Amino acid sequence: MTSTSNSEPTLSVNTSIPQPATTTIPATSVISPSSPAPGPTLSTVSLTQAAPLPRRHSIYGTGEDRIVLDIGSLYIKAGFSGESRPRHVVPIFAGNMKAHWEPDLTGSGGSRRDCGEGCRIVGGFSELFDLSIGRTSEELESLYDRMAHYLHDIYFRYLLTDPKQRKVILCESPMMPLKLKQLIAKVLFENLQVPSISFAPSHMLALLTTGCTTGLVVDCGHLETTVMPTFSARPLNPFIRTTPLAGRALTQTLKELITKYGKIIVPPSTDRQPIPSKYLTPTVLEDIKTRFLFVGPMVISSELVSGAEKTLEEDYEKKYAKISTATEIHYPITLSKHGRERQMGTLVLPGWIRERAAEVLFEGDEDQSSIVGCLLECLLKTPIHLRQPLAASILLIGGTTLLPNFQTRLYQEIILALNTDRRFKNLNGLRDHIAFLEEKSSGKVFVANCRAWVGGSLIGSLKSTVVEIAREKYSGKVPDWTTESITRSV
Amino acid sequence: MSSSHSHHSSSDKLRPFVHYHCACPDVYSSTESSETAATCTPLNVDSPPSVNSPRIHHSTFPLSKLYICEDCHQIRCPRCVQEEIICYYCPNCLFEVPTASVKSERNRCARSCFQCPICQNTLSVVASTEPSPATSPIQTTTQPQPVAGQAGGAPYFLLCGVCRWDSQEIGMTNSRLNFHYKVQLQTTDDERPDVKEFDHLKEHFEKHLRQNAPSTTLPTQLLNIPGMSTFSSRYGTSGLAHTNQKSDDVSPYEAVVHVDDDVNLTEDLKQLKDVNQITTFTQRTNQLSDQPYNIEKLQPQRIHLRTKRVKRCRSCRHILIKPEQKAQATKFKIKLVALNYIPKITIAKLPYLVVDQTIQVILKFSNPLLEDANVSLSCPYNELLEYDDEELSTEKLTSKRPASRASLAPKPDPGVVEKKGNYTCIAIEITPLLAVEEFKFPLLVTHTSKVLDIDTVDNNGTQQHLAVPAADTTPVASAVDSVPVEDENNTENSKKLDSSTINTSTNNTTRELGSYKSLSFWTVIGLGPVLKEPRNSEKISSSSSTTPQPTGGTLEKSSTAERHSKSSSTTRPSVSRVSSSTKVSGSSSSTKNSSSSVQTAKPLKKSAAYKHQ
Repeated sequence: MTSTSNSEPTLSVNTSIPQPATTTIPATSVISPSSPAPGPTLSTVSLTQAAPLPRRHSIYGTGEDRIVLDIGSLYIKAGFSGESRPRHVVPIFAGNMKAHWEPDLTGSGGSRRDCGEGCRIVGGFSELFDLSIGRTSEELESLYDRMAHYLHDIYFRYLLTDPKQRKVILCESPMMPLKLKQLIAKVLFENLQVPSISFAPSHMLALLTTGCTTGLVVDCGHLETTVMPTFSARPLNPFIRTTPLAGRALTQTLKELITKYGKIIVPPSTDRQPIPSKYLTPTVLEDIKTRFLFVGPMVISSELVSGAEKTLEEDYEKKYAKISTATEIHYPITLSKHGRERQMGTLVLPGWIRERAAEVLFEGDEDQSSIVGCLLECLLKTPIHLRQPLAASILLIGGTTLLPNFQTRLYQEIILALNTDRRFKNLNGLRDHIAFLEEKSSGKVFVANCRAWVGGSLIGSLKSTVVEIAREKYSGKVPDWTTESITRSV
Repeated sequence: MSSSHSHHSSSDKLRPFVHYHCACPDVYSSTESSETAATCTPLNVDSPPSVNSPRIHHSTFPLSKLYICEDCHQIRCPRCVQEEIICYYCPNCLFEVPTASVKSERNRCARSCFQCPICQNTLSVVASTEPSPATSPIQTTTQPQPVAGQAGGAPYFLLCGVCRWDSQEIGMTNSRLNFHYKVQLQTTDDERPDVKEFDHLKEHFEKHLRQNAPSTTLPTQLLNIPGMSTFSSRYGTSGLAHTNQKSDDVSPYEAVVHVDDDVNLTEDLKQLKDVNQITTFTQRTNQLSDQPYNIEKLQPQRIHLRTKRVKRCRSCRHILIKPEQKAQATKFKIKLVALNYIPKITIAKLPYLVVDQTIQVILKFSNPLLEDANVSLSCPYNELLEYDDEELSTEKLTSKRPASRASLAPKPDPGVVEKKGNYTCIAIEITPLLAVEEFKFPLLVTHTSKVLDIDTVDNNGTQQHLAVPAADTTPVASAVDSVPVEDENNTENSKKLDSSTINTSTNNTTRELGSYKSLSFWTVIGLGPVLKEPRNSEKISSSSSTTPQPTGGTLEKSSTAERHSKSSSTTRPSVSRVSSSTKVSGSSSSTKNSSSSVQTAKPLKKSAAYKHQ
């Protein structure tokens, strides 16, 4: 078999052109399989559940294992291919690495200290990148510095491996800005000198972890929610829908609600006072969001207009405070810190905020569709004959979907929208077919925020190649489904 | 450091600092030039770093973090060194892990070193205080854990010394001291549901690929099109048909495991009373297999290994840092750190910074070398102050040894405040124009010292290259007994003593024994916040640094600084006067040499000089 490891960089796997594309595992040649290949015997063994499969790990690290990276705006998931979960989930906000955080004894999200390698804390909480990246060249350069620092740390302090030896697989969202892709490629090739990079679409990879090749993948991350249909392992890129209602919007809403309705107790007094918003640092909000929020069940009231208009901030309490039964919690926060002394206060968080802050994700308007709206609009765009299999295979990935009760609520909202929203009346027939992939197949065996990574690991461990960009052929451009030329032949 | 710093804000950001800038020329040489990517060759540092850009935090470092490459005679920062791993060790038991088992143990310590699931500190094995026979077997393995508590110990459990968590809370005890993770952490690797599922998925897709393996007849280019390979198996070499094939799809998949969602989680969260029952995200990401919400489900993880790394210069591939192989040893075999070469700049006196008030800041330069070094400064924000017409003030740093042959020119040095031992303090006058949170300015420092470059040929005929920065400038005879042994890193030095002296006597091309090497680098000096005095508030100039040529006469900028004023924010203050000094060569050179070398080294100073009132 001919080796195609140095394939042309302009053809990427995830083509949007309506060519018959196979799975992202083109059955091209094999790269130096160094593991023993008990092929036929394994396939029989795997059907019986008792015997554990031999691990096909290359002990000497001769490069069969690839590094799989999933670079998000808040966390980088990193690990080796062939493993069922990432080695590390590294927070990359606030300009520092996880190793810099003091242990979170008081639940206030920890605090920062300097990295041992010479970096310094830069500013406050900031995501690694924003969707509007690349407006100024200085912003890009600053991002280059940060990215180089994080990736260097990931290689030498977390994964403990030499970057020059292993190829890299990057899980990218199809909507990832091209400049960001180029920047990541630049850091990896020039700074770390990896041998080759492969980009793979994260929705497709997540779908592979369920074993199905058809599905509607909803990725609720931090910056945006992306819905992408995939049919028979062909990612249908033209039908992607996105909405900015995701983790960041949730944090913002949470902050507004707490500022307005939360209280703080500053010792030594015991009465409750309104909170100055300077205490609601992004780390505190992130901590509250990941620990105490959950999604309440749907509220059907007479005021509810179909299409879910946005609730104004003032109306939140009126609407939800009475019907919520969630308990209020007392959350310790740091008021100030002088050297080693820390003055603590208590944040009183009403229970209804915990239950209903996530409503923002389910209420949209013309500018920002809700998650449900996004999903149904995507279904509207797809060809009719694909809609039913897609609606029957919905997969939720991304960190924001880890909120408890998210999936159930989403299902209720979908059914409601199908019944009442006139925009989606064409989809009414799908009402009985809405189903989630996770319930049908393996359930929550892979946690939602790691699924894309696990898919990348799966790809990397198969004995086939994906389209790679080799370092020798790197010229500053990376392949992307948006820049492929339809007329370009082989 | 100044004692007046106590009044400054306790926030880290606003403490005064002196940081050194490294433009990382090796890293950035292949990219397009940006504003700060200056080609950092000696005597040719043209563009100062823009102190207000966010990039400054990644490209400036305290002196303790910098290295120096002797061959390139350049500063190297942690960003532009290449690292290679030489040793893996566990930070708790300091056991050096062989490379083979590093991989198989997933970069974790295999010898029962655990970290607390709550606070990520190290757990220690503790004997419980239950009564048990005194003759309980104490394992005499190379067990690194100290056994606290009474000797009559089984069952043993793990205890965290910081947060007092113990493993009895999750029911994890052991009858032996040795907590092997495979036994203790309930499920072995291969039995975990996600591992089983992953392997099954892999098998499923591999089977599909095997069935669709392409024939070898297609050229490689055609195989690049996704989908081509499957057709080739059916149509041979003529496969360019674009028909929709359902049969190339993967066969339906059935999972081997099913993990249910925690149905009680929502209810539990709803009725939550105690915030400490819920895990934080950090705790959850330490246990990625299930990422539990409930704190009782957390299990101690094995401790992550650390590495010892060798750092090399990118361009000349010389080793800058080489630690000892043993995990317990903290010394370095090769330690080329910038602390031992370039002068250490500290702030000796820093009064309050108030808008429109001229204050004097004293900088102290310490010379770590055994040789004289000359330092000259320039600042892009203003001009050179002229003293006594065209006579330029001088500054000189003396060497460590008082018995230096270099004699000081007994000139009055107006900028110099104090000169003693190996340090010199100079004064800088500053008039901030705006009240900003942090006042920073760049300073170009050019450091010249004598470097003895010897290419020696020893008995074996191999050529060795010695750089002995501490060699003396005296004639040969005294060099024999006074060539110092520099630092322990330059271990070749003492061995080559004889050969070096021999060669210095034959090296008669230059009158002095060695050449002057010069190194220029930018520093960024931050002086903390600028206060607004109430009575001066109305005098704050509204014509801030947005205008390239501000009025008032208290502000001058060179042409290069103008360029930077446009890019910086409006709150950037300006330094009105910096009474810096020019470079002067060693005592043996004439002043003519110094002035000429000034001209080449400091193009910034050629900007027009204004007179102050």
